[in-house]
Amino acid sequence: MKRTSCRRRLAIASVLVVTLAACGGGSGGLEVTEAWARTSPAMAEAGAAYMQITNGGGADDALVGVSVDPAVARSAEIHETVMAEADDEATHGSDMGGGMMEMRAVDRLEIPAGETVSLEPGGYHIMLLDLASPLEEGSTVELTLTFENAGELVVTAEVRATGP
Amino acid sequence: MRRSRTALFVLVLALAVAACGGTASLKGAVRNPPLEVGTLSLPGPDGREVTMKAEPGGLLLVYFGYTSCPDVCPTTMADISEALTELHPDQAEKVTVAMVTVDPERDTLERLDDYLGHFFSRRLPLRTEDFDRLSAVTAAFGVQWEIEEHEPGDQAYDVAHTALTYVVDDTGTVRVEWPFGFSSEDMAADLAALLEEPRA
Repeated sequence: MKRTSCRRRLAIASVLVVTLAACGGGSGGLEVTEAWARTSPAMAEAGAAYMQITNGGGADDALVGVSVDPAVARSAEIHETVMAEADDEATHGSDMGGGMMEMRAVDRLEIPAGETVSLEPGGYHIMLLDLASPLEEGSTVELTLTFENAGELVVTAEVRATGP
Repeated sequence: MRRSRTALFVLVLALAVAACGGTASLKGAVRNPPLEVGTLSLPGPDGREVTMKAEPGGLLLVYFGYTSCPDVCPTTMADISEALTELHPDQAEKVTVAMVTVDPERDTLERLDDYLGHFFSRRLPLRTEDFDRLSAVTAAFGVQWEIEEHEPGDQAYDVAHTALTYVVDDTGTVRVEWPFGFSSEDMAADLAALLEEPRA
C-alpha cells in the first residue's frame, strides 16, 4: 500500500487519460467544493483535509483512493471518525462521559448519483500521514482523488485554521 | 402589605438564582451533582504537580487527547481557540487550556506543549506514563481511552478517546461539559457566563 509500483502508476495515468478524454476535461458529473485542510501544529505528523463531493451525474460513483505529493505528506488515506465500542479489557476509564471517538480507514466512500457527501470534522476526512512540513495558513494542498467510475480528480485544498 | 409581599418574593427569587449560580443559561451539559476534580493532579511542565483547578477567578478547560490525532483533537482545539478570540481579552486571559495526553508513548511533555502552543498562549500540557494514575484521573472525569494494539516501535497507531471538553472553576468543580462539535459561539457564551458570575 505504501509504495506505488510503476505498473500501478501507469494504470492510474491511463485511467486519467481515459477520464479526461471521456469528459473532455469537464467534471464528469462530480464536483468537489469547499476543499480545505486544517493548519497543523509545527510538531504534528498528521493532518486532515475536508471537502464536499457532489455527484451531479446520473450514475453512482465511489471515492476509492486519494494521493498527495510526497513533498506535502508521505501518504493520504480516507478515514472516518466514529464512536468506538468499549472493550472491557483494553478500555481505560469510565463510560459516564458518553463514549469514545476513534478513526477507521475507509476503502470505499459511496458517492450516490444526485447526492453530496460531506467530508467534515468528526466524520469522513482525508488523513495526511507524516507531513513533510507544517500546513501553513494561506497555502494550498493538492490532492488527487480516485473515483471508481470518474477516475482521477485533482482538487486544491486551501489551508486554514477553521472550516469555510 | 402587597408591597412587602412582592419584596419578599423578589428576595426569594434572588436567593434562588444565587444558589443556582446562574448555570441555567449555560449551553453545554451540566451534571447534577457536579463532578468535583479539584483533588486530582497530574505532572505538568517542569515536573510540577498540577491540580485540576483554575487559577482564582479563572477557568481551566481540560481535554483528553493526543497530538497524532488528525481530526477530532485539532477540531476541538481550533474551536476553543476561536471561542477565546470571541471573548473580551480580559476574559480570555482568565482561561487556561489543559490537555492530558492519552498517548504518553509518543507525546512527550515538550511535544504536547508545542501542540497546544499552536492554538493557545495560556496552556498546560499534562502527562504521566503511569497508566494507573492516568486511569484514575480519566475515570474521575468519565473519560475513556484505548490505545490501539501495536508492535513496539510502530508509530502509526490510533488512540480512541472520549472527546469532551470539561470547564473547571477555581474550586475544582466541573461547571459545564462540551461535546465534540460544540460551536465556538456556544463555548464563548458559556465561558462569558461563568466568568461574569458574581463571586461568592
